Amino acid sequence: MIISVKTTGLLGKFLPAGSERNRGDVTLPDDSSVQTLLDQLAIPEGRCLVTINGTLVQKEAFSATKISATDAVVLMAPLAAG
Amino acid sequence: MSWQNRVLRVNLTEGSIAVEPLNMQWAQEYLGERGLATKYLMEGMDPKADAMSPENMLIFATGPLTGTMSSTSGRFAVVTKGPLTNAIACSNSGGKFGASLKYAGYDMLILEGRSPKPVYLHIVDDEVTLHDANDLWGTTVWHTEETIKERHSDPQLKVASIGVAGEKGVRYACIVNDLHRAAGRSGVGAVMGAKNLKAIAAHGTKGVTVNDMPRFMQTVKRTWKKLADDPAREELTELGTNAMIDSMQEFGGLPTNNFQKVQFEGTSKINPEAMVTPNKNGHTNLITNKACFGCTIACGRIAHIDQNHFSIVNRKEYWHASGGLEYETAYAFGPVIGVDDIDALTFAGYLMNEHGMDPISFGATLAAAMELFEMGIITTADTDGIALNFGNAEALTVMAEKTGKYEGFGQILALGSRRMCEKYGHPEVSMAVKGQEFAGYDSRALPGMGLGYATSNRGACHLKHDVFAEDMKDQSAAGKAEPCKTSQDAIATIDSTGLCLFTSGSWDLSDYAEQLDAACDGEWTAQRLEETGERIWNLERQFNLAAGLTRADDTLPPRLLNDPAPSGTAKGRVCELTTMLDEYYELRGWNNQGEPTAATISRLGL
Repeated sequence: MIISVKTTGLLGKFLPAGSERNRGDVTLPDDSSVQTLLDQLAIPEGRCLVTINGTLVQKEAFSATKISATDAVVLMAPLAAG
Repeated sequence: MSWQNRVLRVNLTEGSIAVEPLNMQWAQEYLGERGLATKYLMEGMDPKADAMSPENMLIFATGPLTGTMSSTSGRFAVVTKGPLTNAIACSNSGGKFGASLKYAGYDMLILEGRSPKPVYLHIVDDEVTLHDANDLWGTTVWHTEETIKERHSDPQLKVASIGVAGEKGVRYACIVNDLHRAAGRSGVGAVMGAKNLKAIAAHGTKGVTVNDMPRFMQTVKRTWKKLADDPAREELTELGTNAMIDSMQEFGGLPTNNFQKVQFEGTSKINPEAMVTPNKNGHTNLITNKACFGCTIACGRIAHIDQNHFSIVNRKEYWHASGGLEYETAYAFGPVIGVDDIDALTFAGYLMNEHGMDPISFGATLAAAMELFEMGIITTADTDGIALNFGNAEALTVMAEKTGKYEGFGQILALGSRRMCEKYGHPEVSMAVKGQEFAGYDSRALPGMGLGYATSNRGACHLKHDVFAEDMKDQSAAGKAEPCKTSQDAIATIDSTGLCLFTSGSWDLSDYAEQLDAACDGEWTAQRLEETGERIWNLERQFNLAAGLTRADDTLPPRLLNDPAPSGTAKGRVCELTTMLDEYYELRGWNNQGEPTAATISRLGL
């Protein structure tokens, strides 16, 4: 399946080649989890927050949370004061 | 050692100038900058004094690491009683002014009284003189800095000054140094104006020494590398603080239309990507990034405005590069007033620097005025004919200029949101704590931020605590009091070193302690810094209690406590402050009225 992924901050550099600065399509096996997505993009642990359809996914639930092709997936750079 | 061991004290009423030794016992207890200046303030004035009276003190304080080879060592603090909050004000700035003051041989500059006429202070090492500033009074920050440098034929002077906003007592007037860095919050510029002090110009040539140079340079190199290798630092360098706007939008904590909403549909027009994307005229907003003194992060932005934009099309004086959007200016001129015109936002930022005003408080006050306008409480008859609807970019630029020049409805906006909303009978519309307006984080999505806002000694502030990690993990009120307290103490001590808070994402307290221990006297450890931070926090609290503040001031506006977030990851949530506040007081060793107990006072040696 192809997942459309949106990113913030500098996380766009982990998207597949040819992606826009902060948006790209990622091809994953069906029934993939959030952790599968992060592993495929090689995003180091602790570098991003994940929302699916506007709901925050906790780190502990990354492996158990499945993604479908119609989901809106956002990978956010961690929040900090600015 | 890296303290200069000298305080410059200027009594503006008498026109007297004196140099005295730094109180080294206090330096050991309160370190420098924010902490040490608070101690001098507490001992030197009655906290009940009117912030705009001659009895108020205005202190410029460097830290023991200011001006050293440590990364981000350009910081200084301005500490006084704030006219926006009637609480302690501690406003931190970068640029080059702080290092220059330190190099002139002073840890601290204390200003007392009120000059009978406008003056500016000129410091070149041991030569310190007051000069007539009648010709500068009524002029802008930018004009003042240029004129003083020309007058003394000294381009190396570093100048901190106020604009008309400070002269006229705009409650959130700031002190601008090096053209576009500022001690921005709590109205410290209005205090300077009330003292008839237009500017301070410093040129120091003495440098700073450290106790153990080889050890100091070894730890400096190690901490430089640690900072360089951190992805959080890389994001600040590459994107600036405005990187936060996309995350806050997705998270649903981006205050929009005076906190009536928590997400803004125009974010993509004012985010870091928009700053580097050419517009229809081929104009690109961002030019480059910029660093303060000694900084290896360089989060600052330098931008310019499209010359075809309505705000400057016939105003060539603004056809130049200057300070660009940071997250808080983007929030305060963007989502919270519903505006998505990047050039209008950038121009408003120019005006804040030129006239000397805090963009956060100005933007949030304009947001409150816009809500009052849309409620029908005020009309164009009140607002000089300008329709203050959310989303009106022209209203932003016109009102920013009117407030900076203290003209028309700008005189009402100059009151700040609390006083303005009280004037119109709707205090609930003001989004502020202790009278100071919120930064760009909604505490329904970030409850730990809500507790930090409510308990911040200088009024609503996002820079005096750091509970982001806990808020992201769990958006309930549970478990927020402890990290709020711990981070408040840690930041109080970092704010007292002379280094920038933006290193704290990469360094822990042991990194600061190691640099301090090599640079100056005292057995500085992470544990000692934690204790020092707690002592500073409690001393600030004691100042506020003596000034008349109570538990009732540790609260949030009813909108955040009662109206659920309409969208985002916290949809349906309110900020559950009361539960967090009781737990926080207990952890602090305060009674249920928020007063430090005798045991706490004794433990901290207050």
